[in-house]
Amino acid sequence: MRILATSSLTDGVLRYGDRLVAQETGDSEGSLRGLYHATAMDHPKFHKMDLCSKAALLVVEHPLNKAREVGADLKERTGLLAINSTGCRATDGTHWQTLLEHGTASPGIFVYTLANIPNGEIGIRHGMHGPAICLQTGPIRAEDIVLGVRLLMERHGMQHVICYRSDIFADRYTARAALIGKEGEGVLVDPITLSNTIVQDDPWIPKH
Amino acid sequence: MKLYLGGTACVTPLGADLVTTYEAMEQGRTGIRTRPNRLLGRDFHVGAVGSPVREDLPRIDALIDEALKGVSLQIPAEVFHAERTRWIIATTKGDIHSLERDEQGPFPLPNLADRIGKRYRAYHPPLVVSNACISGTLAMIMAADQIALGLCDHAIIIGADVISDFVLSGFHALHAMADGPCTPFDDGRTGITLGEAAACAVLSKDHSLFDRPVAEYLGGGLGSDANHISGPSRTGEGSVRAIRNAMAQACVQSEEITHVNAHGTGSLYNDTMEAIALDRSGLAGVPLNSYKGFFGHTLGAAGLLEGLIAVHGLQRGRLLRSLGAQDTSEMPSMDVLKENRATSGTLLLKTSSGFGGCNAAVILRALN
Repeated sequence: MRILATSSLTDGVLRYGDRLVAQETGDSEGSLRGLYHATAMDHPKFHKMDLCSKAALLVVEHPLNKAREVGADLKERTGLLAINSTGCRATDGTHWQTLLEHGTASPGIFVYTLANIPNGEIGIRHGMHGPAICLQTGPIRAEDIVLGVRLLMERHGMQHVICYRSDIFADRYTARAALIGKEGEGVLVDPITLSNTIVQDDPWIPKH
Repeated sequence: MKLYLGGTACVTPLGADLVTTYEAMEQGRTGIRTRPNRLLGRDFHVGAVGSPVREDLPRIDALIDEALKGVSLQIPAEVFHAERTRWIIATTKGDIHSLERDEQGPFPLPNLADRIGKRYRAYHPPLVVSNACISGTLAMIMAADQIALGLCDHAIIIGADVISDFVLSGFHALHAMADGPCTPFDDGRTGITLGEAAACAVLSKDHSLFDRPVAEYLGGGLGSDANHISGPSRTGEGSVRAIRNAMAQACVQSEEITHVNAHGTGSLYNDTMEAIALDRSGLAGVPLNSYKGFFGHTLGAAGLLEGLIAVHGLQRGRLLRSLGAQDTSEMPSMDVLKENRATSGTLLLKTSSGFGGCNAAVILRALN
């Protein structure tokens, strides 16, 4: 298994591999909107999503483009593995506050209180019918990512896996993603390389 | 490699163990009752656990604790703590009451896993699978996959979710709640009913771990709709893939399947989608039911709980009726069980579907 592409998105800075794609300032909502425009992504539903899904959609764009480049079968043979610390926790709070303040919930918010929804949004945008798994752990562990990728490839026939995290803490966010191929030119997958890519915690993330 | 399922236990609105729950269902009893909701100012039908559970723990921990007690009576204690045992917890919202209590930190699901892991001295931190309503079925698949890859010898699988204002209000806002108790696969169905439960089981490559394993795990499959974030594919795309992949992994043909225990939420679109997916998978005439009319939709627990009950029925040579399904003329090719029925078959297909367009299926062979 090899890492074929990586990307990161933290506090308004979007990198595809080592390349700085765009940098936006402002609050989370504003900076993610700015990054969406900077990437010229054309997906109007983006604006209806919660922050977690927005960050996820932006960060997987590059690995998915790379997957197309290397001829991956996105429709049937590419799996999704989301592994988050908090996932939709922020949206849980929004849903609950809306309910308390208005005595009724918003369906548009409630849907995003499920941790796997970013997988659904990515699958819809890119037409992916393969398996989509969502795990939640306190500290992200490289071993769990290796486990998830192995299961998808060795037990469910996937040739490629997009694995990613997307975590929102108060008004800060971090998202990281990688395209992992069963074969191809890239860095061999092991816990250390994963620790330096998608596992890596930002210093402001609260300790579990 | 053969994989065996045993150490099965549950706490449901119908009882504090699997046999009690099953026998209540066989008698046609439902655990669904009306309950007033102060926050939303109206009554809802819900399947709430009525048996006493520890009150010094968060409710979900207490339900899990009660179910794990049942497991501990069936497997050696050292399996709980063994290095070669993995723990998997399937839940959608975990201890969501902590948000209502204003006590929730940033890691609600990992915190639940920590508490369970510490309480039972699990060697490895439990893995939390939070994949909407396929979580319980997916947990079984992930347990089997880990054993099959040699990463562990045993897996303790837990599925649990609780009724909360949080979730109730969300489904209410989506206009997804049934007018009365849900009636899956009935032409007059009006939506879902929420329930709560905890279910546990142990999957192992070691037959001798159990006095009597209840089933053999044959295969599991997954698939995505890539269609709509909160509605199923009209053509059952993800479900068809999940079923086909499960049958391929299990090396089982559609005509060999004895029984399908479907997701069957009682929502208009889900049940129609499932009928289409089963039809496309060559399973149209296979006796079909949903258990949600008995205790509601238990979300992250549903796949595991319902799979265990269906296996128990097959062990007894019985297929339970799909409570609430009376008129099923809308799905003429489906053999929806309107009465309990005897069977000599043993092969179960358990299906699950969830928001985000995720779908899962497992095939289990009941053992006598």
